[in-house]
Amino acid sequence: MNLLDFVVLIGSMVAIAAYGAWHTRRHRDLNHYLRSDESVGWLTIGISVAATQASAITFISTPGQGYESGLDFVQNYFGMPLALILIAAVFLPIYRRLNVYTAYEYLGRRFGAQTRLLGAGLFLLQRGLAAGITIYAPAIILSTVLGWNLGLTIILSGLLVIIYTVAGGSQAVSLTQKWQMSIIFGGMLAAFAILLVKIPASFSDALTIAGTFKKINAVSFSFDPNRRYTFWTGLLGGFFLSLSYFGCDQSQVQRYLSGSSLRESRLGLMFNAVLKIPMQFFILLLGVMLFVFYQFEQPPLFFNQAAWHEAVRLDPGIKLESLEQQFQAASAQKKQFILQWLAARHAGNHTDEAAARAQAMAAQDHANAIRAQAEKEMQKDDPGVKSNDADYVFVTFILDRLPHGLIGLLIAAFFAAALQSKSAELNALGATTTVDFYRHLLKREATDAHYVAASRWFTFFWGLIAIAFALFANLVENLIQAVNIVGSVFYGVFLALFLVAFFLKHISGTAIFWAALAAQILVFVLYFSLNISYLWYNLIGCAACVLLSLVIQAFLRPNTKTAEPSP
Amino acid sequence: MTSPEDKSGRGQLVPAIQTDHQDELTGLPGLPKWRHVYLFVLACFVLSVLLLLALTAFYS
Repeated sequence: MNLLDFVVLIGSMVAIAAYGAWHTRRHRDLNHYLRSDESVGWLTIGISVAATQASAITFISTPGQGYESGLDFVQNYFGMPLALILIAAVFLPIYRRLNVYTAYEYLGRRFGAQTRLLGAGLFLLQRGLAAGITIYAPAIILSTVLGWNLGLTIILSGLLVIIYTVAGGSQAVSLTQKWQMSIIFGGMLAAFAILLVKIPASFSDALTIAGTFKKINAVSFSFDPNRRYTFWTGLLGGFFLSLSYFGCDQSQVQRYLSGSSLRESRLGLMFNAVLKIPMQFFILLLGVMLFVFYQFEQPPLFFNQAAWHEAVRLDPGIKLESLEQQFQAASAQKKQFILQWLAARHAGNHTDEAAARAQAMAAQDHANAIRAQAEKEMQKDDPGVKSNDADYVFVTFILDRLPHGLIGLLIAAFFAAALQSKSAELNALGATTTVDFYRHLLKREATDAHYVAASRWFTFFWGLIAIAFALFANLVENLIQAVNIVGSVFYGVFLALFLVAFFLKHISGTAIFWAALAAQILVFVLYFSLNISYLWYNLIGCAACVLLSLVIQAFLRPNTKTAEPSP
Repeated sequence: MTSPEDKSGRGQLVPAIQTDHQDELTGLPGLPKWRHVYLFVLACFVLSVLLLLALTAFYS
């Protein structure tokens, strides 16, 4: 990165944060601070909902996933449009009618205080964990490739987001997210266009190459339970994951409760229901095109060059260097076979085309085998080395292949993405702590100014917790999957609380409370003992909680729990 | 706003979802009611899956 890149990066980040903080610095009451006075239009809500979900991990790690595994991750989002329709039709009118600040207030009115606190507690636990990952994930990658100090990157980006979120509350989050999303999509589209120009083949040829190497695998109807992404896991597991995330997670509920009317909130959700799958497809396709690009250009054996150089330094022999040379030779050979294959294809020579394609695939298998061997060698020397190299693919391409100025814009896009999801999380954590714990348990009668001040302090507190967690976090899995796994372990039970509240009117607070605890323990036990796609835990947790609540209720007297009085 | 009290004393029930006439109207051309919007979203979803399926079938 040169001076121009740093000007673009720092200028855009500070300008957006200052804009958010300045425009929203005066908050009259809690309604304004936590729900933007319910004055936000549908487009802002739609962008804000999308921005809250799309963290930096989405834009850094998803192209890497496309590069490594192809398009199959898009199936993860198949259940989302259906879930958003259910939320818009059922959840949203109830939240608005009850005039709640948090989704958990509704649980209190329906089941009583202990279930409200359980729901809010589960949210704080899983979102607090995810908030640490949200801030750590981009920091570890960007600090590695840019050579920055990891701790300083975490602290500075964390403090920036704390400042404008504490100052401006919900409205600052929505306002800044709009501009941050503009930077992100401007940068991503520019990177995609440049990538296509740099690939020395037509778009159709590029797709053919990707398809041959099994990267165009967008839909699979396989019933193999060990397969992580299929149409079925996406439709069922993705449906429950989306239903709980968008319907019950305060970081999302707070976004659409700020709508000026039910119509604006609903349209904001429908905006996401239509655009999410195409958006994820685009980001994954970017990764697939990166794979094609590196069929014509020499890829590094390991994209995480810092880890690679460290491994070479620690290597007592010259095994890794030798493997690197073998990999380069295999990649060069593969390129020749691909060029021969495309030439034969354009000439209509099917025999030569099939032969060259088979040779290219064999060369790819050979290159993959060398890579796997190198990874094994690296882990032998340093067991703690991060094995997932896919997260570094897109950042490496940006730094090595894009012009200055655009590099700054793309790095700004990653930081913008980190800030936008982080700010919504902090805002929601602060709101839930204030409304569901502080106001509910400690200080029931106080002025709005007091609660706004408390909310600011709690937001600040959660920001510090997230920074502290990020400073000590150490991840081993692909980052976007880590976030989804944390969500899936908690979300099933979380969702069941709301589904029972909405649809099973005879279930009491006592029954659902004990059912939720038992189901959550069951999910933990299964997670550590089974090897199935994590998306299934959304379904398992939800089904277990609903069934257990029915069983427990059958053994209880009808009036076992009194709900909280409405304010 | 308060939700109705359950007569059995079991707690408060889900408030009946009254369909306000203003809430029922979307203000969108060609999609006047919410059920039309939901059907449109479902159609977009089915179309997305079909296009992805066609892409997979054609290039795999």
